[in-house]
Amino acid sequence: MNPSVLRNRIFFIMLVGKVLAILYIFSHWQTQGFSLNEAIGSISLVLPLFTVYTTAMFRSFASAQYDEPVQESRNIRKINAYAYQFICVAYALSLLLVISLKPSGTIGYAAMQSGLAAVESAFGAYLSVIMSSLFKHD
Amino acid sequence: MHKQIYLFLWALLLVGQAGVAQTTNTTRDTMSINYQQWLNDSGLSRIFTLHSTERRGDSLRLYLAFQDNIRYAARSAWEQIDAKFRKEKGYPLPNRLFFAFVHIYKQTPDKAALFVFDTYDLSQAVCMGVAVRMVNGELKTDYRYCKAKSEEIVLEFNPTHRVGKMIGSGQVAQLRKKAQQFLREKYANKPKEGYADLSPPGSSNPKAKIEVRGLRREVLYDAGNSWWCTFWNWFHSNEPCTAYPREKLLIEVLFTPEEGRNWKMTCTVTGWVGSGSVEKLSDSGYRNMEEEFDSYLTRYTTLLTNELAAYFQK
Repeated sequence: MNPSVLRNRIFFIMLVGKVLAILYIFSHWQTQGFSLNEAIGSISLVLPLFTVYTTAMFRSFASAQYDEPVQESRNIRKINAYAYQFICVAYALSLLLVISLKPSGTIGYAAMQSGLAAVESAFGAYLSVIMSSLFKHD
Repeated sequence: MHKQIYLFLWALLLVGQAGVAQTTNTTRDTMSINYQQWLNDSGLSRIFTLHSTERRGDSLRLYLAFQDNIRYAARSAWEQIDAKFRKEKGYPLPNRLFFAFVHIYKQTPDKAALFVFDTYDLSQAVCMGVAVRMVNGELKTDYRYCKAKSEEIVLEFNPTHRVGKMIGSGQVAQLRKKAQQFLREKYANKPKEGYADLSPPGSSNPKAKIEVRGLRREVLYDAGNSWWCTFWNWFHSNEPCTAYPREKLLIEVLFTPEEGRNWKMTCTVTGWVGSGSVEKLSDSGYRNMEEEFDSYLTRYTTLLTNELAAYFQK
């Protein structure tokens, strides 16, 4: 797969995943699944890594701003491309799953915080490898 | 540069996790294991579990938590077991918990303190808190309850009034039944998920107590004006927003005799709020209204007390 296509997909998946997570928390705050403090606390847990990744992605995007970008001669293997996309989708879904357990009372807020931290650390290592290999600073 | 960012991220994550771990600083040393074992053996582990211990200089603090399934009813669970202890053993529950603590931990009583909270989640209001410590050689127990709203009103009965004619426990029973009837009728036709009459038995019991759960827009009357509902209504004009927050109310009406044939009625309302968008909501999904909706609950308590007083004067 062409690296720039994969980069765009990963960027899209991460962006949609995180925006959905934030909107999900917001909607639960509005229906009182979260108190205001809990909603702000949850967003502040989800947001930092998102900002770092999107900054790296945006830097890569900005470096390709010219009409004739540098052609990349080598494609990414299919298996790698699928694995990268799968990890990003699984990461976003895991965040949504952990968040969804709190409003129903299945887990408390403290357990949800630990759950989010666990998801971030479980996927963090893989995501950092994906980000550093795909979104190199030119 | 990237490496530095990722290293920073990992450090941030680890610090965050350490912070979470700090809030539940559970020291599982031998003495803590022994104390938990004592709770198990004495049957108190059905109610309590050891949360953590904290050493401050040469003094030691022990924190107990309520079991998850009774956390929302922590106060009544505490009162029941305390009354049982006083009746059967001749001393109150805090004494038993405290002296077992100083004995097992080999701690001098004046350098020990025992705390029981219904929640250790910093984002939630504490609805039941107990502090037990030795002050000047005497064991002192302090309680902290979340602020249920109370309104008092004096009911004046004309001697010709049916209730006014009755005396003693018959009159109390009559008042309590009427309050129960009012509450049953009031919530009969409202959309809800459960109604329970929790009034203690006995004809001389002066308290009516009910719990209604899964109410919507009862206390939070303007919940339909939320951004979420506005947003929803833009896209679903034929299907109005129904994701109003769930409410759970515990209403207690207590009658105490006043001078003459009058009675003082104290109406106490404790309110919880929970998600309105999930299909099923467990008890632990509710949180006390005190945190964010204090003024709504005050308003509701006043309205309910007035309605109840008007019902009695009919």
